Amino acid sequence: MPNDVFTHLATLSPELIKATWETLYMTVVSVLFASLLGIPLGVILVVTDKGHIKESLKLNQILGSIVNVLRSFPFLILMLALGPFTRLVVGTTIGTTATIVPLTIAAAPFVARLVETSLKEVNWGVVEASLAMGASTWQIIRKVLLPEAMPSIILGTTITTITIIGYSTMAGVIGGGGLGDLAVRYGHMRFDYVVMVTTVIILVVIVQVIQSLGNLFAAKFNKN
Amino acid sequence: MIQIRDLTKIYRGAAGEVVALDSVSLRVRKGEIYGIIGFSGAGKSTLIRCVNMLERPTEGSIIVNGQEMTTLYESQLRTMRQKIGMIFQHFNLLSSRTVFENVAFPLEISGVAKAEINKKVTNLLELVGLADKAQSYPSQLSGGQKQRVGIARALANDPIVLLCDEATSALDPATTSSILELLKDINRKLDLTILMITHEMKVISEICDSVAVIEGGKIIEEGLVIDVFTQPKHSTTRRFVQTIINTDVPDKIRERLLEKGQGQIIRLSFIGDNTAEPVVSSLVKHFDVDVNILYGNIDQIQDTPFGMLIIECIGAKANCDKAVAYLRKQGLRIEVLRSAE
Repeated sequence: MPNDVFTHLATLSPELIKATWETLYMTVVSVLFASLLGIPLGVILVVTDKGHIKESLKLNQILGSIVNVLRSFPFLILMLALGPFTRLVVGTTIGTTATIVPLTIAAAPFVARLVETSLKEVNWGVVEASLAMGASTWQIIRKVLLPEAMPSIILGTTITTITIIGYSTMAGVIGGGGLGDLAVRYGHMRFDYVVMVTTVIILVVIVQVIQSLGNLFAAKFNKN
Repeated sequence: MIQIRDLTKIYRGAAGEVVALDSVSLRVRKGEIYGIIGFSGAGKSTLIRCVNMLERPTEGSIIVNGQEMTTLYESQLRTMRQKIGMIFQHFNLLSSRTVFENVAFPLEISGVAKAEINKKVTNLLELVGLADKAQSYPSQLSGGQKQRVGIARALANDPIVLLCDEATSALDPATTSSILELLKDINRKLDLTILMITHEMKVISEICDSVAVIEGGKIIEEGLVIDVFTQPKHSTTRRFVQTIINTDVPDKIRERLLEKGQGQIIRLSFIGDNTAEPVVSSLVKHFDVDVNILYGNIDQIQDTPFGMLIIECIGAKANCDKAVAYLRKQGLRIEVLRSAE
C-alpha cells in the first residue's frame, strides 16, 4: 500500500512541483504588488486622519470608502469581475499571471488596513517630538512612522501572505493553476485522496514557514 | 528671548468651548531658566506647546528670538523649530533607533552631513554622560538615561531655547535632581534659555530664576523665584510653596503660641544676608525687653538663605513697639501676630 502511494506521488511529482511553484509565484508577486499599493495607501489613510500630520478628511473618507468596497467583495467574484481590467494590465484573463491582478487588487486594501492599524499604534508622542524638531511630513513617514511600526508591518505582511495563499487556491477558476487547483482537479473530481492530502500538507508547510519567517523578522526589528 | 503677549487658546469641541489659556503674557529673558507651575488642567502644557506651535494659539502673539511664531509659513516654522529644542515627560525617543541614532535624528532632519553628525552626537553623548550607551536601544535604558538622551537630542541643532514639558515628572526624586543639575549645567555652559513647565515646586526651587504660577488658564503670579517663594501673594502660590517649605506656622502650633504668655508675638521673615545679623540679641540689649523664641525655620533657595522666626517680646508696651520699629528698620518683614496688652 505505501509503495503504491509513493509510486503514485512519484508519477505526479512534476504536477505537484509545478503547482507549488505556481502558488508561490502568484503569492509572492501579488504580495509584492499589493504592498506597493497598500503601504502608501495605508500611510495616506493614517496621516490624513483627524488630528494627524496631514489632516485631510475628504481624501481620507474617499480612500476609506474605496478600501471598504474592495474589501467587501468575495475574492471569487472580484476575480471574475476584474476580467476586463486584468486583460488591460497583462493582456489575458486566464493563466497564473492573470491571477496576480485580482489577487493584488484584493490584497492591497487588506494591506492598507493592516498598515493603517500598525501606524496608528506608533506612540503619538514620538510623532509630536519629530514635529517639534522641525521634521517634514515625508521625514516623519519615512524616518518615524514606518521604522517604528516595522515589526507590526512585518507581521501584517505575514498575515497578508497567508491570506493570499488562501485566495490563490481559487485561481483554478480562471486557469491560474496552483496547489488549490491541483487539489480540486485530482483530489475532488477524481477522488484522488493522496493528491488531496499531499497538497494540503504542502500548503500547511508553506504557511508554517512563512509564519515563522515573519515572526523571526518581526522579532529582529523589534527593539522594545 | 521669548515674549508671549495676550495669548489665548480656545478649544472648540462638541461640548462647547473650553478656554485653555486666557490672555497670557510673559517674558523670558535670554539665559534664564523660567519655570511655569500649575496644577494639572491649569493650561501650562498648552502654553508651552504654543511656543513652538504644536498648538495653534487662538489669539495673541509669541515672539522667539525676535521672530513672531504665529505668522510663519510651514517651511519657515520647520526651520524655526529646529532651533527650539524640546524635551518631554515621557521622553518620546524612537524605539527603533539606538541612542546614537536618536540624537542624530534632528541632525538628519536639518540635513547635516554624516561626518558632522558623528562628531556632534559623540560630543553630545559625552555632555550628557551617556558616551558608553551609544549603541543601546531606549528600551535598555532607565528613565533618567532616557531623559538624558532626550536632552542630547534637543541640543543637537544648537537651539536658542529649550522647552521642557514636565521633563522630570516621570522620574524618581534622585533622578529628578540629577536631571535638573544637568539642565542647570547646560544653562550655564551654553547660556541657553530654558522654559519649563512643571507641577513640582521642587523643580522650580532647585533651578529656576523666574517663575510664573498659572491657574485656570491665567498667570496669577509671576516674578523672581526668591520673591515668589518668600512672599507668595496668591493662595495657590502659597499652596505650592508649602509643598516644599513651611512659611506658615502649623495651625495647632499657632493656636498654642497665641494662648501662651502675655507678650507681643511677632513673626520675622528674612531673606538673604541679614539672616546672619544678631537681631534678637540686639533687641534684648537695646530695648529692655525679654525675647522668647517660640518657633523658627530656615531654608535655602538655590544660593539664597531665608527663613522665619516667631518670637514673643515681653516688656513694657512702649519698649516692645520700639523693638518692632527697630526690626522693621533692619529690612526684615515683620508681622505682629498678637499685640501686647
